Amino acid sequence: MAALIEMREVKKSFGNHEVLQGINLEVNKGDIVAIIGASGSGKSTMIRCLAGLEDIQSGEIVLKGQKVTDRNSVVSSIGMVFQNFNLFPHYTVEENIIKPLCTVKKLDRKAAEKKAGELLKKVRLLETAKQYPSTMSGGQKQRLAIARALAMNPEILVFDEPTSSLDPELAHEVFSTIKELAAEGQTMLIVTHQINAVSHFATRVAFLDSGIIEVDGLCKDVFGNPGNQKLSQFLEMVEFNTL
Amino acid sequence: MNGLDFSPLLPYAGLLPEALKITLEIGIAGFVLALVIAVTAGTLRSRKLPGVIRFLLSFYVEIFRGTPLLVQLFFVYYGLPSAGFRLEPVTAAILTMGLNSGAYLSENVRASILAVDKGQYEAAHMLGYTPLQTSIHIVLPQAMRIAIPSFMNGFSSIIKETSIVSVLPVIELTKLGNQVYAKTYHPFEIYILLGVIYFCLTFSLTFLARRLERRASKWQL
Repeated sequence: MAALIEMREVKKSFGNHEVLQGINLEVNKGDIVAIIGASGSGKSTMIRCLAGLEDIQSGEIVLKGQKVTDRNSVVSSIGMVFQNFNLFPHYTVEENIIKPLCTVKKLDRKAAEKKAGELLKKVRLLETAKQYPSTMSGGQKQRLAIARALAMNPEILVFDEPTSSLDPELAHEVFSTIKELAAEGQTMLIVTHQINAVSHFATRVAFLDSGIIEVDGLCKDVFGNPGNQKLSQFLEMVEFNTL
Repeated sequence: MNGLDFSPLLPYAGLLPEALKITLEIGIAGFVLALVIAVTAGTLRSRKLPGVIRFLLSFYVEIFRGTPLLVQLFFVYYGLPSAGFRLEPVTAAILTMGLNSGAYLSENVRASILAVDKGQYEAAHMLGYTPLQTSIHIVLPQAMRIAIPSFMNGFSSIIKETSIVSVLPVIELTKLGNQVYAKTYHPFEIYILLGVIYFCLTFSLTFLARRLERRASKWQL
């Protein structure tokens, strides 16, 4: 069976700096891939290329067996949750979900309101439906961003450092929500530094270093026995084993 | 100088409402036209466009920002008839005010659009919005919020600049003042009164602008 999405020898440069030096990644339905690595290793660039937010210089991205030729064609399959939430500040919480459903999916207002209600309940934000995003905590904003992305029924949900701007207790709220999605079988790619958190539900781990996936394996194998020296050093650093 | 004496002006008080109406008509219609031009030109200028359209828009903005309003008004009212376009004085005034302010405000709209966070475009793209839907539903509402103060400044300026229209054969506030002066020789009282009327108009606009800003601030960028 073809992978849901694949990156084959993907290269990406900004000016003379080659950020991705040949990425190969295969994501199957139900996979929850934690993408880890030091700052500047290319994690965010990798998923932004996957989501069509950046052009690639060479290589190819294959979605359900079809080579992606138009960046816009991945939009209906991929949902993205950003580090800075990127909620629409002029819409209320529920409108952040309703408006895209009406504008993009052409749902009638009633159906969109019903779906928004269900999703807000799922991420425990129903009581904030009439508020504006500016009145919410960071954790609430990120849960709303997750609900908004889910509203479009993406096959793959991509998270770009979803908790890096949040305090630990708010990050906990967000990871609880992501864990619930994992239990429902949602395919996800999560760029994060919160290794302890993702290890509770990720099925796979991809470790990037200098634009190359150095390690790609099952979560329990990678964290249980890193093997790779760069990964061991990285894990020691992020877990503060040495200081 | 003798004390202020407004009594010689009283016989002409009945002409004031009509002059005020024309001033407001030119100011409001000119502003609405300016808004339409500013949003259209500002939005277009914030995007990647074919060279010809970009040149034409820049040409329009630079010409109207780089020449005096009075010259533009003379050109539209006295010059265009030579090219076969004869306009009524009020229409010529509205068109000139709209084009002139539209050029200035389009730069404010462009700057406001550029001030909207790049992440908003990315979020809209990932949700499946087309570029046009992103502009209409996501970017413009936020840009307009940013632009409210400059819009209100523009409106206030247009109201004050309507006094230039007194050079055309139309009796708006300043022209009425000039005519009453010619008959009464009470310039001090007349121009104080005119100043007070213009101030009241622009001050009430400032008040309205603050209310609008407060209403818009129920959501934060």
